[in-house]
Amino acid sequence: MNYTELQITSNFSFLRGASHPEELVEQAVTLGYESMAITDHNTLAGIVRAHSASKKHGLRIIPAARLNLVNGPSLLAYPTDKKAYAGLSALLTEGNRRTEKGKCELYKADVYRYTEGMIFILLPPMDLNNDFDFEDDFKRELLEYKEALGDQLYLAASWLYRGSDAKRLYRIAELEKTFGVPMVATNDVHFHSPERRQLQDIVTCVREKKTIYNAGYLLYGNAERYLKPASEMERLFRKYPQAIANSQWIAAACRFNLDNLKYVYPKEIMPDGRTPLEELTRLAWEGAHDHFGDPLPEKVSTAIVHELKFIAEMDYAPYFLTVYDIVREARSRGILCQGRGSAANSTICFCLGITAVNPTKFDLLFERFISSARNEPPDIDVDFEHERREEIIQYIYDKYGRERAGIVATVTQLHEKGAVRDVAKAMGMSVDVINRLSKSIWEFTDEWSRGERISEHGFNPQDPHLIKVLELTRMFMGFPRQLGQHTGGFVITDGKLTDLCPVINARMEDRTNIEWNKDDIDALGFLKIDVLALGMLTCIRKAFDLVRAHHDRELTLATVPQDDPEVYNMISAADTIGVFQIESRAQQSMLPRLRPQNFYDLVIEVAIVRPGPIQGDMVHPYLRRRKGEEKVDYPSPELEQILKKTLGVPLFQEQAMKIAIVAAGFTPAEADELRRSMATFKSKGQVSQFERKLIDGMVARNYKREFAERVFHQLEGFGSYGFPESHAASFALLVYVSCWLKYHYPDVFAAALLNSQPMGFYAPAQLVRDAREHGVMVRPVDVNFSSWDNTLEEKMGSHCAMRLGFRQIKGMKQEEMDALVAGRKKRYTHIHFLLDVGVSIASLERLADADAFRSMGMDRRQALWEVSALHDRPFGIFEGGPTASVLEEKVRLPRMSLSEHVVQDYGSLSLSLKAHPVHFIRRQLYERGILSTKELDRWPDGTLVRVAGLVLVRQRPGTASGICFITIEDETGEANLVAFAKFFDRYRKEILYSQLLMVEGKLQREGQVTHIIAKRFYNLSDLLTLLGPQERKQVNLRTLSPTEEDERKLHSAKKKRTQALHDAQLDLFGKGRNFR
Amino acid sequence: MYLLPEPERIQVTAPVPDYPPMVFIYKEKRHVVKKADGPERIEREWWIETGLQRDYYRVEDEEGARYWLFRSGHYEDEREPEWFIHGFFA
Repeated sequence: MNYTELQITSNFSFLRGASHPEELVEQAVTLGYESMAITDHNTLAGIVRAHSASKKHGLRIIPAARLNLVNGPSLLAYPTDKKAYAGLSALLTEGNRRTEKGKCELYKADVYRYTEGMIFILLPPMDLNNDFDFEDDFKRELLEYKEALGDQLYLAASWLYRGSDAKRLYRIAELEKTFGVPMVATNDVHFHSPERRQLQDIVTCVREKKTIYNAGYLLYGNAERYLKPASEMERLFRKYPQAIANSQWIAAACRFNLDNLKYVYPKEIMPDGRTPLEELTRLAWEGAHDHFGDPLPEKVSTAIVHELKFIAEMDYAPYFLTVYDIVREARSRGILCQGRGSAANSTICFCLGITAVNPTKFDLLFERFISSARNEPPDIDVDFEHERREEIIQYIYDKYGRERAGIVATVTQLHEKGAVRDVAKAMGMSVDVINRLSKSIWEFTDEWSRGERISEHGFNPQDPHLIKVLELTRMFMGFPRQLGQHTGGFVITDGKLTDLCPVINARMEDRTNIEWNKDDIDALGFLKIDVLALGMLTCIRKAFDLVRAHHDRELTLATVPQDDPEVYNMISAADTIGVFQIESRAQQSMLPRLRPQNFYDLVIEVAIVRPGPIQGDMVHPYLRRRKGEEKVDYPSPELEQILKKTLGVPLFQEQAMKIAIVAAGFTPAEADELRRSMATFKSKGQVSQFERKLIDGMVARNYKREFAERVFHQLEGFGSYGFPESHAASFALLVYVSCWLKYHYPDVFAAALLNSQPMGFYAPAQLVRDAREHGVMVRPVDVNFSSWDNTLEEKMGSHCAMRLGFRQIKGMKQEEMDALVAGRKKRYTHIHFLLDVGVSIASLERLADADAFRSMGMDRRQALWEVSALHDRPFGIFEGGPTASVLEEKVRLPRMSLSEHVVQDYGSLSLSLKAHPVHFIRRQLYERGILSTKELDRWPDGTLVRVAGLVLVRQRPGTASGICFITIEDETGEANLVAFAKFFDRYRKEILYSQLLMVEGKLQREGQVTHIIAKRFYNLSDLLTLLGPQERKQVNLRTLSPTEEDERKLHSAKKKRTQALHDAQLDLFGKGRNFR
Repeated sequence: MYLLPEPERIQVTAPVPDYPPMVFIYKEKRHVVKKADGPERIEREWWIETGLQRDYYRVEDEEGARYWLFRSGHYEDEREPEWFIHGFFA
C-alpha cells in the first residue's frame, strides 16, 4: 500500500460528514489501507470511535483535525508525537473556550503558537479564476503560511471530477515548485461509499436550511468524495506520483496514536508520601474496625484481603481513593450520598463509607468487576442529594482545577423522530405532513411497506418519495448531532486535561466538558467518576434532620435498623406512596405478589419491574417459582451457579450477560459489545448477527431454543436500559430506608418528601392525603404559623402535626416568604405588617388565594378585599397615617360555600384539607348508581360496578400491549382501572380529557389487589361546575401527578414491543428518574 | 455555447476508464480529438430521477472546433457505455 487517506470528514463534523467513523474504518480495512487520518472540523470528537473500531483490524488511525480559521484558509493538522497532540488539543480548547458552545474560533496566530511537531496541509480554493489560476490572495496566504510553518507545510491536491481537476493540479504543482511546498494527494472524503451521496445531500440541506430542490450548488455535483482504493488514487495522480508518496511520508511521520495516551491518576489524594495502595489499605482496615469492631468477622477480613489483592493487581487504588475523597468531602458538608455500581458494592467501599449496603448481609459479588477481562477502570457512581450536588461538582473543579477536571460529553444521537423530521424537511415536505409523519413514524413497519396495512394517517406505501424519505431516515438515525454534557461523569487527570482531549464550553455556566463521551473514556481506560443527583437522597437527609429535631434520634443510612418485619409488611401491602422506586403503579401491583421479606427481595423487586425482565417474560415464571407453584430447575448445572439466587430465572443484567458467556460461548468483551450494540442505534445487522450467535451458541450447547430466545429478548430489554444487580442493591437500600421512615415517622417522611419536590410519582395532594391516612394531622398554610418549607409542629399522639409550608402555594417567592418569617417576631395581626417586612402585594394576593389568613380571622375573600385596600397606602411623609380606605364603608362580603373554598384551594395549592371535591357531588353520583371507591370492598370479585373520581394517573407502558392503567380518586379513596387497548381506543377522548371520569366495569380481585376492568367511560367533568358559584361554569381541578402522560406518549404505546422499549422506560418510571 | 435540445448519440474511440475520446463520429463525420479537458462527473438529481451519471468532456478537433461530449455511465464488464454530444462551443 502506497497511499494513505489524510482528509476524512466523519459525521462527527456535524452535518458535514455522512458516515460514522466506524463505517469509514471498515471500508478502509476492506480496501486494505494500513492507516488513515480522521480530520473532523475543529474537533477530535470522532477519533476515539475510529480508533477503537480500527484496533482489532490492525488499521492505524492518525488523530488529526481540520482547522477552519477565521482569518485564513483551512489547514489540516497532524500531530507527529504526543507533545504535538497535546498542542493540537490545547489549540482546539482555546478556540472552543473563547466562544459559545458548539463553535470554535481559531486564528492563524493561534496555530503558529502550536506548530512544534505538527504537520500541516493547506487546502487551496476549489475553483480557479478566469485565468485558470489561483487568486493572488491565496498565494499571499500560502507565502505567509510557508514563512510561519516552513517544512511542516504541504498543499492538498484532490481529483474530484469537477471538470477543472487537471488544470487545478497543474497549478498546485506549479506552487509546489515556486514556493517549495510539496503537494499531497487527498480525496476530501465525506462518506465511506458512494451510495451515501444522498444522505450527504440531506445533511447539507439540513445544515444550510435548504430543501433538496433549492440547495442547488451547495450540493456536491457527484459522489466522488468517498474512500477510494489506493490503486485508483494512484491512477488519478499518475502525473504527480510525488503527491501519493507524500501521503505515505506524512503517515509515516505521524507516529502518535491514541494508545500512546497514558492516563495518570491525580496525585493529591495521597497524603504524606504513602503509595495509594498503602493509603487505601490503611483506610480500609481502619473503616472495617470502626464498622465491625474487634475482632473482625472472618468474612469481612477475607473479603478485604481478597479485594485489596485484586486492586493491587489492577492498580485501582487511586481510583478508590479519589471516590473516597469526594464522599468524605460530601459527608463533612452534611450532604448525603450513596455509591452504586459494580465496585461500589465491595467490602472496601462499605468500610470507606462509599456505600451503606452492608456486604455481610448478602453475597453481592465483586464479581462483574473482578471477572472483567477488559482492562477498564471499575465503575462507581455516587448519588448525591439533588439540591446540593452542584456543591460537590464545584468542589471537584476547585480541588483539581478546570485544567484537570472536566465533565464527560454525551453525544446526542438522532432518534427516529428527529431523523424523519430533518429528512422530510430537506426533502421539501410541508410542515403539516412532517408533523403527521413524525407522529406516525412507528407505523412504518415491514408490514406497511409490503402494503399489508394502511397507515393511520393515510400515507401511501407506494409513494416513492415517501419510501425514499423513510430509507434515508433509517440511515440518518443514530447520527451524532451535538455534544451535550453528561449528567455528572467526571474525568480527573494528573496533568492537564487538554493533553488528552479538547475541552469545550458547556451550556451551563461554570461548567466545562471534554469532547469525548463515556464509551470513549472507557475505551482509553481513563478514570471516570459519576457524580449524580438523586432526589430521594435529599428527601432522606431532610427526614434525618427532622427526626433529629422532633424525635430526638440520630440516624444515618447505615444505622437505620435493618430487617424490620413491620416495614416489610407495609411493603407487601403495597402501602408505598412516596417511597423510593417501588411507588409506581406497576411496582405497587407487583408488591403483594412478590411479598418482599428481606433485603435481597427488595433488590429483586427493584429490578423486576423493568423492560428487561418484562420483555424477556421472566416475571411470571419467577413469581410462580417463588410461590412454589412451579418447580425450581436449572437449564444446566453451570447456569445453576448464575441463577441460584433468582430461582433459575435471570432477572439481572449481570446474569443475562453471564449466560451469554457461559452458555453461548461469548467472550466477556463480546457480551459487553452485545449489550452496547443494543443500547445504541447500531446497524440492525450487527444485532441480528449477535442474535444468531447467541441462540445458535446456546442451542449447540443443548439449551432449549425457547429459553435462548427469552434470554435474547431480555438482553434486548437490558440493552437500552440496563439494570444490574449492583445498582439494584444500592437502590434497594434507599427503598428500605425510605420505607422505614414512612412506617415509623410518617409525619417526618411526608414533610421531607414535600420539601424535596418535585420528585417521584405522586403530586402533593396524594402525599398529603396519604399522610393523613397514616394518622398525621395536617394543618393549613397560615401566615402566622407556616415557613417556606413544610414543618412539623407539636406532637399529637405519636406523630407531630405537619404544617403546610408556603412552598405549596403556586407562584410563591422564597425570599419574600423568608422575610415574612424573619419579621414574625410576634403574631401578625394585620395584613399591612406583612407589607412592611417586604412581602409584595402580588404575594399577599397569592397568600389570600391560598386562604392563609385564617389566624387573623379572615377567609380568603375577606383577605383579598383587605389586600386590595393596601394599594392606597400612605407613603413618604404620610407614612403611618390612616389610609383612604379606612374611611370606606364596611362592606359585607358574600360568604363562600365550602365547595367554593375547596375549588379555590385546588386552584392555589393543588390540594385542599377542607374536603374532597367529589364529596360535594356524591348525591348526584348516587343518583347515577355510582359507588364510592370504599364501597367497592363490599362487593365480590366479578361484580359489575360504576365508580367515578378525579383522574390522578394515566399510564400506558409500552410493555403492556396497549393497556392503559388509570388511577382515580374520590373522597373515600382510590380505585385502579384497567383499560384494554380496544376500550382505550374507543374511549380515548373520555380517558384523556376527563377531569371527573366515571367508569363501568367488572371488579377483579387478586389477593389484596383490586382492579376494575373498565368497559365504558363517561366524562362527568360537568358535574364539577356544581361546586363553584352558579355564574362560574369553568373549574379546573389539577390533580394529575407529575408523571402524567401526554397524549403523544400514550399514543406511542401502540408501537411494537421492541420499538417501544425506550418509551416504556419513561412511562414506567417517570421523567427525571432515569438511572443506568 | 450552443446546447442541443437532446443529446445525440456519437461513436467514439476512447481509452478506459475515464479518458477523453481520441476520435468521435458525429453525423457521419469523423473528428480527431486534438485537445481535451475533463471529465466533469455529474450525478443525477436522485430526488427526481434515477439513472447513470455522466462524464462530460470539452474536446477540440483538428479543425479547432470545440464540442461538449459526455459518456453515460462507466465501462463495466458486460456493457459498453454510450457516448453523446450535448453541445458546441462558439
